Amino acid sequence: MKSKLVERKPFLETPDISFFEERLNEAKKKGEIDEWKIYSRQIRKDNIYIQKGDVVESNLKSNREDIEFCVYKKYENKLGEASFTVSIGISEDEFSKELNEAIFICSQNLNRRYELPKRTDKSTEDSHISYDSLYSKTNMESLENEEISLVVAQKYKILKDLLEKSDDDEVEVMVNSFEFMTNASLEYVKTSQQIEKSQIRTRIYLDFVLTARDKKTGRESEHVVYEDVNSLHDFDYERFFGEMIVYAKDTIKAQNMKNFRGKILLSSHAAKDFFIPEPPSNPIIVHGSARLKFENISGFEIGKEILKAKKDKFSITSDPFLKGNARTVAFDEDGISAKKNTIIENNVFRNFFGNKQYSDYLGIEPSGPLGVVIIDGGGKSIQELETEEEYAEIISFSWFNPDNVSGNFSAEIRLGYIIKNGKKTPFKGGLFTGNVFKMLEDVEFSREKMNKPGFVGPEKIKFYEGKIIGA
Amino acid sequence: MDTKIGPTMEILSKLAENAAESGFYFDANYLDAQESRLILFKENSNYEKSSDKGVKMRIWDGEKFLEYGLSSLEENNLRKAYENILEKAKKNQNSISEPFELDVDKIEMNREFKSMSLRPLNTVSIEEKNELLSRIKEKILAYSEDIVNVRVGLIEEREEHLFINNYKRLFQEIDLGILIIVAFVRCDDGSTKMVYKSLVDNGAEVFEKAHSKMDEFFEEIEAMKKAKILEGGKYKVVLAPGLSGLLAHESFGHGMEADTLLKDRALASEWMGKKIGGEFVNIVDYPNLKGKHGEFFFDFEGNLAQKTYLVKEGVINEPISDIYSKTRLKLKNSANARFESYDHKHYTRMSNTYFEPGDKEVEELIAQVDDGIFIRESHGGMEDPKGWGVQLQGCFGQRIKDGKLVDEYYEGFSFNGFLPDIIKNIKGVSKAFEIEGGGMCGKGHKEYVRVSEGGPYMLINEVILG
Repeated sequence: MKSKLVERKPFLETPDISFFEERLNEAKKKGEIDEWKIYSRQIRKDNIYIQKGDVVESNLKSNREDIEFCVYKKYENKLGEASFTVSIGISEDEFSKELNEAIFICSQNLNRRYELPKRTDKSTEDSHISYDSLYSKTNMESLENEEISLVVAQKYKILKDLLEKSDDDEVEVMVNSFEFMTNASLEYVKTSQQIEKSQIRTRIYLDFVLTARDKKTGRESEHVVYEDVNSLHDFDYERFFGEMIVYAKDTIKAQNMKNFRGKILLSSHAAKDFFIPEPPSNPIIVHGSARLKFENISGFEIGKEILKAKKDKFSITSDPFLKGNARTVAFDEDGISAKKNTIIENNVFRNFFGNKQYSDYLGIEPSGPLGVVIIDGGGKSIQELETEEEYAEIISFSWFNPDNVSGNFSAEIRLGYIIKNGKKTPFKGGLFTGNVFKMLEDVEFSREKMNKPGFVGPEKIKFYEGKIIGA
Repeated sequence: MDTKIGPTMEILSKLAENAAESGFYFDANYLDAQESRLILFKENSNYEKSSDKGVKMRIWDGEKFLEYGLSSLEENNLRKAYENILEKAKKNQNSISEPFELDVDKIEMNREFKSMSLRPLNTVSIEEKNELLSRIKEKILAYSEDIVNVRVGLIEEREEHLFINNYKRLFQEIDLGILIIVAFVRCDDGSTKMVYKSLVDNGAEVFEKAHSKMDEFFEEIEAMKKAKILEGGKYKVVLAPGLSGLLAHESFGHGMEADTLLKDRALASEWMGKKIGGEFVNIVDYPNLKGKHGEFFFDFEGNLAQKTYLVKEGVINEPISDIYSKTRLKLKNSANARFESYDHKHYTRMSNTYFEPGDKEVEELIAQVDDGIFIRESHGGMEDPKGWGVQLQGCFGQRIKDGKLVDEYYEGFSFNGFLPDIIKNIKGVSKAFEIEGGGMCGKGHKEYVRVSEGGPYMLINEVILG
């Protein structure tokens, strides 16, 4: 075994890939392959895990560095391709073995020919995105200086102070677990077609559980929260924690839901999850992918109406340039630059999104990566949407997981409210059931919008014929 | 043991010795999780191979773990990472007001393990794999013109895993092959629906399983085309093995994880030692189940795989655990400390979690249903240990009338309820037993590890479907 190939570099610096490049170019010269691509990703993490009783259970730091290699061989009307991903530090012998295997697979894994992206293509021209839109300098500095535990302690104190203030005679709320995960990543792509790009991104993922306890009965219930943000400091923790404490308190008063048919409002996490579920795959967006169209699974056609709206019309745009959003992105894994892309406009399907391969198959320009999903607001204010005598409002699901092909869904409700003649009663349980495509035909969106990671859209969504199957 | 791991093992052993000399508990896991995916579509194919390789080291400072995960296996980088956490542990040592010692298993052990297959997948050429997958693909496409596309794929998973602490040096190699078969079917109303099956084994045996499952797969395609939306309400149901497995997993599995119990996040803590169901209700977690997707020989804290009875003869028995939670809760060892990758935290995690088989024939269970649903498939579920609620989503089922399966099908509904009520209502468990699924399990919405789905068929008197 020979020595390792990539020397360690300081915090998030583009790796030295010269050895790999040389080997790939040799293979190209010998005619074993026609083109290649290297995509590397370095992720630095600093995570703090706090347990019930304010006890820190773990502080995990890490430095991950992976490199993906793709090799291509052109045939008359086919393209052979294979990819392999390795961790940094792969030896010369191991790399040669992997490359030889990939070269062989290129002769077996043959697909319809498409043109690989080139530096001179319009789609690879650098997008006008400022680097501070992609990452937070303060996050980077805190990570580099190993100050994350101090920052987390400050944020945790905000939560604890708010919990103390929220204490009343009836209900107390406690933190049961608090996971604060900070990372910074560097992605770098280089191809034999002279594309070379890099982007740094930062992300914070918060995952915590608030437990509410009824002081009289001792009964407990919990509110599970997960949220990702871009910046350690430019986020209103106080407002966010405050809102979650209110929901946690309401879970203790929540009654089991009975059957309900009628007007249903989605708000807070439920509204976001309806469009951007975790993992992010909404049927409407999935059917807008060039790949599903090529595979004959999506029936969407450009210029055709996809929904027969009775009320508000539906529009979706992908915006990769929003400053400070965790899903802001400059390019995809092929080096195709990000761009704003209108997918649906007033119920009419406008553009597919897809990588170079599937876009070529459809004869369209590649869209670049999917950015932040923007849903247009509607004509009414929240106040106007809430004028009904009776309706249900859903705050959070345990998991909104629709079938991406059919659009059917049935999601358990963790917290909601029944509003009757102005009186608001919390409930939990029951299944919000329907079909994403059908429900969007009879919907109104609030004018007011929320700005969440990966999603900017109406704060409240009102369905006129909603259904909850009760316990 | 693979010789390429030798140098890493020697370095980690030295670090373990050094930590012991400094008075700290230390453990390290080297993990190389390799995966190759060969997927055939109607017109295209895709081949990807990856190796997720790195080391995670931990030092216990008397109150918490200081952990470092890194991709680099170079000695100076491993040492640097070690020194980073050791220095912090030393610094913290004097400021910890109530230090406690971890309940470490001090039995010395040096062992190696390897999963077995009659025909390991690395002995099968790529041409042959392509040919075997193509045959399945062509068979599905030839079945009906309504099939607009397919995904037929082989996912080969190989895990090379080394665990080291001051007492143990364990190494395991696990090979698994997952066959995925998906058909996209155009229905009469113009909609497209998906029919999915996954099969698992240690080697090329997985292709043999596919042959015996194809008729069942075609039946499901026909059934899916006819499927309607189910009217929500309370139903008597018979669960197929995948569903009983999912019920065991989402309810008892997550509800009996010691790290969840430690946070008082599981209602199960109030039920320990209490009877919850009939004597035929036994729920276990068992990692050492050959050829199943949750298979392993030891966990990421060096505990050898063993069967844990979560429920024994209808009584809530004992939780699965990791070292931190079991120390604080004073529990027995179980082999369930796992992490997603070397840059993720250890948690208490399941492996193969299932109801043990009973003594009934499947037909006997169906015969007891006047009007109900036989639930055949589901897309997944979500845990709610605090409320002990259960949610199984994307279910696909068939009507049972007068004790017989009839030609009425339903799709996209959920199964929901309060676990003690569901368990109380289990009225029979089949002898027939099957674990096939190649699923992944998250803790909430993250931390994915491989697990299996399956178990016996099961009759439940009343659940909520909607």
